[in-house]
Amino acid sequence: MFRIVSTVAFLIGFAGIALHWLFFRSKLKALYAKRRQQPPQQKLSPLYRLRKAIYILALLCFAASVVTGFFPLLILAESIFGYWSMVHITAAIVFACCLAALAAFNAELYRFDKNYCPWLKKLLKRGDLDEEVGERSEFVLKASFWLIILLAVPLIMSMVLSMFAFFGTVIQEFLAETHRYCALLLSLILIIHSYLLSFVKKNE
Amino acid sequence: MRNALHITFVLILTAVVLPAKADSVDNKTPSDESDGSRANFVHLIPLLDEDGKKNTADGEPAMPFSIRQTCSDCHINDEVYHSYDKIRRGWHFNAVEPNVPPGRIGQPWIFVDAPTATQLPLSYRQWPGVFRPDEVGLTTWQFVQLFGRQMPGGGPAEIDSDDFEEVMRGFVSGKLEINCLSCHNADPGQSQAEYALQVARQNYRWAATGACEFAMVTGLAAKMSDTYDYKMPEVLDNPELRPPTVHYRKSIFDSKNQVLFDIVRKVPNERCYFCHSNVDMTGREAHKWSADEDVHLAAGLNCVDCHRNGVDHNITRGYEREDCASTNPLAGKLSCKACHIRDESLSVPTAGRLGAPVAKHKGMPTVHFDKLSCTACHSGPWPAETTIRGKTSRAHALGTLNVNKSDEVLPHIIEPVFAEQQSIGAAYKGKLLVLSSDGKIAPHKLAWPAFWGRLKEQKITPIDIEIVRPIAAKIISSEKNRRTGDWPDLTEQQIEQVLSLLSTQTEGQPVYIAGGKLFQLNSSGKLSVEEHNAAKPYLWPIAHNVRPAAQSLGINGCQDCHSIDGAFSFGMVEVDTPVVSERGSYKKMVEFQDVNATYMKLFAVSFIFRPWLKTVAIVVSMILGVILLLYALKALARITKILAGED
Repeated sequence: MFRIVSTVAFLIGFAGIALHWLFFRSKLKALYAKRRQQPPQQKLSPLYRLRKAIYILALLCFAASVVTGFFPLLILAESIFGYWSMVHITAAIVFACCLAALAAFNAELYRFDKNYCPWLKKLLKRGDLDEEVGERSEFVLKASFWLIILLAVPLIMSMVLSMFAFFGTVIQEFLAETHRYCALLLSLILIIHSYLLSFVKKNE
Repeated sequence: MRNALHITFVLILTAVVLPAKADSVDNKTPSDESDGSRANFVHLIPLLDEDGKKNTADGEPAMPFSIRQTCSDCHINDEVYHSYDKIRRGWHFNAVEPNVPPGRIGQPWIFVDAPTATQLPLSYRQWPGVFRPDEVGLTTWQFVQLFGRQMPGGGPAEIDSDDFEEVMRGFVSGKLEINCLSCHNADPGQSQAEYALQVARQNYRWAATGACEFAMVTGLAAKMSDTYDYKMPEVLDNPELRPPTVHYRKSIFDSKNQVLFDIVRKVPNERCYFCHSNVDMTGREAHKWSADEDVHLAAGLNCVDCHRNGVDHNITRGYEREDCASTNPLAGKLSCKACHIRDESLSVPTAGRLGAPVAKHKGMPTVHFDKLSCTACHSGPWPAETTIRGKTSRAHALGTLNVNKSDEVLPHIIEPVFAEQQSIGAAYKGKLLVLSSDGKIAPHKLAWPAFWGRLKEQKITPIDIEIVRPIAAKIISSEKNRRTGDWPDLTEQQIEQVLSLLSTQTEGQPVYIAGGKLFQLNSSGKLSVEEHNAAKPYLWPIAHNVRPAAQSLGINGCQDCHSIDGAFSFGMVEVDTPVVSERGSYKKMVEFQDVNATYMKLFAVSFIFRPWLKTVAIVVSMILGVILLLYALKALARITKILAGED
């Protein structure tokens, strides 16, 4: 079942990104180009470099985790075992550490803007709307960041809990399923997040 | 003329129809059709001999009773009339039937001949790795002579030999019929050791009688001449000859010359144990008083609570996927999994049957159930640094009289070997097929074949033992180990000598197989040694004794198996061989598991870091959780401010 769901989800995900890239690429580029430039000294600060290094490491580990996690399941049609699992676990734990660091570094940057809730502002009849903000897909970018953090917790804990002698087979299976579906969702969201982030980075 | 034809036709018709009519009149109600009562039927019955004649208290000479005649007087079946004919197709008797699916690989009979350094797994079943007895030159008659001691009769014992001498001996000894009493007689006087003795004396016709509680059989059919007729009065010119004679206890017959049998449907465990006992040679546990029984038996179950059968005696063996090889409707439903694992898909649950504790497997990642059989953790001896040797009833004639009790006695069975399970010989729509292995690792017993063979057209077949014996006797000295029953000390020089002598007596290239290696003379007449497929060990799965959950592998944590020197993967499997120069070698357990040894090592190493991994993962989760909580609270604060009109 999971094999079918994940295959379909990845296909839809990649197809969606491809379509988005085809039809909205130029518009998005133009919108992000207007964004306020960060001061050059901040770009070159050690903290920025560290953040960037962690981000690259996280992306590499994420790629390794996704390949080792999904390849045996989707292509070989067998549960993850052997060297696949060893690489998967090693990459996954590094990815988790990087994620925690990136969450700490970026949480403030990814705070939601009140402009994302025009309906609330209209309801309360407060302030003017900055429509451009809404159009820049920032909401999706920020929402995906928080979703990644949110999904990472059950993703990690489902595996950690299964390593303790607390739960029997039924819960173990539930934990394994939780891990799989969280991993699938997190992977898709992270791919979308990275895709959107690429526009921001290019324009920086 | 026409009338004469009519009369002839009527006469012929009458001759044909009347006996059939008489037969149908005489036809009895099928008594093997159960009425559902669980009460035991009292078997107060007459003892019938081979000709169907009653034995009486005063009958002289007393005749051995025939199981077929005595039991078939009542046990009739509507399909094939005699239940006996249906029963003979049951698992315990049908090995010789070529169309019976062999199912999962099982314990072979092991032919041992210490003086020729021979140890060969034999079976009539089509299990890969065993030799058919006829491939070794054993006729069904000889096979029964060797192994009939622990066979319940029937099967090869009821097949007529093609050899004239054996046919003649068959007239003297009679047939070794299926002995229902071997299993179903609950009387403590039923002696299977006596049965084995009668078989050894070739008193096949008398074996069931001699083994039961109310008769004694003296004499040896084996010594009688080919023309001996047991029904004729004794006229013996040789005082040393002792014809088989039956002595019934007079008190057993009632006024109607009936005898009371303590026959039970639910076979007592001790009856099974005569052929299915195991001894683990761990020193301490080699004594039955210090070794534990199977947990199921200790809990009060009987062997037949799980190994069940109907009248057809097609008993369940109890392994997973058995339903592919057996027509027993309970096949596959009486496995470990069926009773101990809850299956949510079943509307009528089978887990917990007979009070079976439903397994929780706390903390056990589910991948273990894909890679391991239940027995891997729960059955057989606990794995140690090196394998141990074991004995089984059928291999070592346990329970018979004057058995060699030495620890070194052949055959050498090595256990526990954690190896990948092999394929299952199944059946589909009447055709035999091989069901591929499920790849699960299970504990096995192992025997290294050792034999003198011939290599012809890339195939190695054993040389008839009768050809090897006189040659080996000249060269190999087995005197030293005669008492222990161990291997003779075979040197490479002796192998060379035997091979060169055998080359003059057999077709093809003579070879010797032992300890996983093939020995043969090369073109220059020197001995060459190489590993060979034909020398691979024969493994069969261990099912019992089952240990309780608290004594299963993994109870001490993952390190029970996942440690860098853990016996499960890196235990040393003894390579048993009579060749002195090859002794003391071992193979690693992982070599039998179709798993990469480096991977297993690395994986085991990863368990050293497992606690760190858990700690890091928990800390990361906590950081992420705290950040989420912090910003969720901040968002909530902002929303409440907006709602309060302060923003």
